[in-house]
Amino acid sequence: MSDGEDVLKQYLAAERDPHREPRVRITGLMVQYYHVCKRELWFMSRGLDIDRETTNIQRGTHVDENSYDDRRRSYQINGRIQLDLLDSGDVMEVKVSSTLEKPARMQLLYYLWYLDEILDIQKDGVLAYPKERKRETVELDSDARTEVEITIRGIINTVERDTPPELKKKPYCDACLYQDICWV
Amino acid sequence: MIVIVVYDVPADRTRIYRKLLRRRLEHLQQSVFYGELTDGQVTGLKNEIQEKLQPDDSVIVFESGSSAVVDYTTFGDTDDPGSRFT
Amino acid sequence: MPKDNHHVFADGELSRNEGTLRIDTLDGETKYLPVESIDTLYLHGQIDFNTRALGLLNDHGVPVHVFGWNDYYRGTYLPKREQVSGNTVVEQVRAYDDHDRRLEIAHDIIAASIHNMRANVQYYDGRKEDFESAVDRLENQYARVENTTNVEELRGVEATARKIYYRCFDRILRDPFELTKREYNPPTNEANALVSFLNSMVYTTCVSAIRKTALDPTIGYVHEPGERRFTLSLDIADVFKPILADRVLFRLVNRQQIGIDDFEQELDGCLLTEDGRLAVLEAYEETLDRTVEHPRLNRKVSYKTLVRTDVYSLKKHVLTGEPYRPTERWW
Repeated sequence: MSDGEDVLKQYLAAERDPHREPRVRITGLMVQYYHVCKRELWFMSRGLDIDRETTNIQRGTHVDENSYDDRRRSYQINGRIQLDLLDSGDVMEVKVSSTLEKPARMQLLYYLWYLDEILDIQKDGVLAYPKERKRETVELDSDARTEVEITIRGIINTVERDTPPELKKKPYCDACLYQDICWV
Repeated sequence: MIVIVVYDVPADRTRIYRKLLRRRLEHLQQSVFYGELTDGQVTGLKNEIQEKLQPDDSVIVFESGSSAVVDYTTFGDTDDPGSRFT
Repeated sequence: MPKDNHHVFADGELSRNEGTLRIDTLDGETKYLPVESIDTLYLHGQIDFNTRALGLLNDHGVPVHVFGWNDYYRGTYLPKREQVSGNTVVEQVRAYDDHDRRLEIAHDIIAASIHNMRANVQYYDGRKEDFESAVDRLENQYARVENTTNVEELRGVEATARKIYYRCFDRILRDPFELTKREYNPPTNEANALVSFLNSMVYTTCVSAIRKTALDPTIGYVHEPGERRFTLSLDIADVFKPILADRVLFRLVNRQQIGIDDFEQELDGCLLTEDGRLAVLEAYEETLDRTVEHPRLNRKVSYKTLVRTDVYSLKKHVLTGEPYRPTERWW
């Protein structure tokens, strides 16, 4: 058994057992960060938090709160994931822009995977970009499942490192919450 | 960015907007507010205005790009907008 | 982009009203301050306030620095931090407790401090007078920093550098301002009063910047904890005094934006008048707004932002071991 599989199995076992905590609690945000920037994920996991007042992050929060009139209910599950359920029963994830499509899709897929694997609830997802009037259906097929599992292993490996992943210039560094920590 | 907000609403509703705007902006004149806000603050402000809006209300939010300076000339008994001193 | 500070010079009452700050001055004026758009509140006048006003400031994370009736800094009301990170404080203490780690950080701070002193003297070299020998001697102290083996020895190097530095002031400052010797508690003449007041402003700027991080302001690396003030703020202030305080001092005096009649002799030394303080603060705030192209952030940042990124850099260092880069004037 490879170490990668081992990590995932341990994670599943700990999450399924109500009396245990996994080594790393994986939140939806961590999945997103993993696919945006591993260094950002590491910083976030270490509590290297930065002052949110002066950044663009507020914009995202407000879009999320106000962009749709659809009736939806929010659920907080085990302190890991926070998802919105539409009347149709689909899980919805709202994003400001589609430029970082993969991270948003992976976050949603992680929710679907978590619901299925840990809570035995099967759902489909909807990815919505209100500013662009765009919606996209997301399903947890076997390829997606594999991708989520690779992501989980990757997240655990990343946050368990002693030092942050190396500094690397990315096109969206200038819009990142952590820019002022990362590069100074 | 520099933001100017003006409103024209029924008398009994002025308090609602005044309260909302005073938290973020300088109260320049009766129904005129001015200040420098972050993008996030502007989005939050607009959302809150939207929530309070009634059919007879009129509110205008001016935003000046990312420039931190707007030229102004004051006349009469007027304090400088944006002063950091009281 | 940091928010603006606000300075209250009026005497009166500060209260909470309709979710924001209200000031009723003794002159009978009422003014509202946008609590969500204020970085830091400075009280320079006689102000009464109650716990509801403090609660509001706390909710919005606005620190309050209080200056007394004379121009001395009295103290700070520091709101609780929203993101308390136990991990960060633990690492901060570990770095303090580990001789080598502490010394490395202290080296970085003092080196930057001396570099910034030298940059100021260099700026005036040839412009006012010949400062070549002072520049050389500061250079020597800068070189000595790395070889010091404990914090006490390091502070000795810093003290020597500061003495060389302050000795240049008298020649930089236009007459009749004099500074032959740095004297404080109380300041004995006009130039000393200006330096003291500006240094308090730099200190409070650092206190406010540190509050925005999860670092604990009481644990510093050069200064010993247990002194009356926030020791980490004293550390960071050493880096920024030449950039934020001293250049403002030179400008104010040499462009005659401030004169001898902006001071008064009191029993407890030489003090700035209220007009004098206002003139200094306008120049200081204008300096905080100045921007410079940051070599690694790919954008222009204000001096005020530099203080914050400096603290972030230190925080990153204690948590990750990546280098701490205190601000050494590069522009």
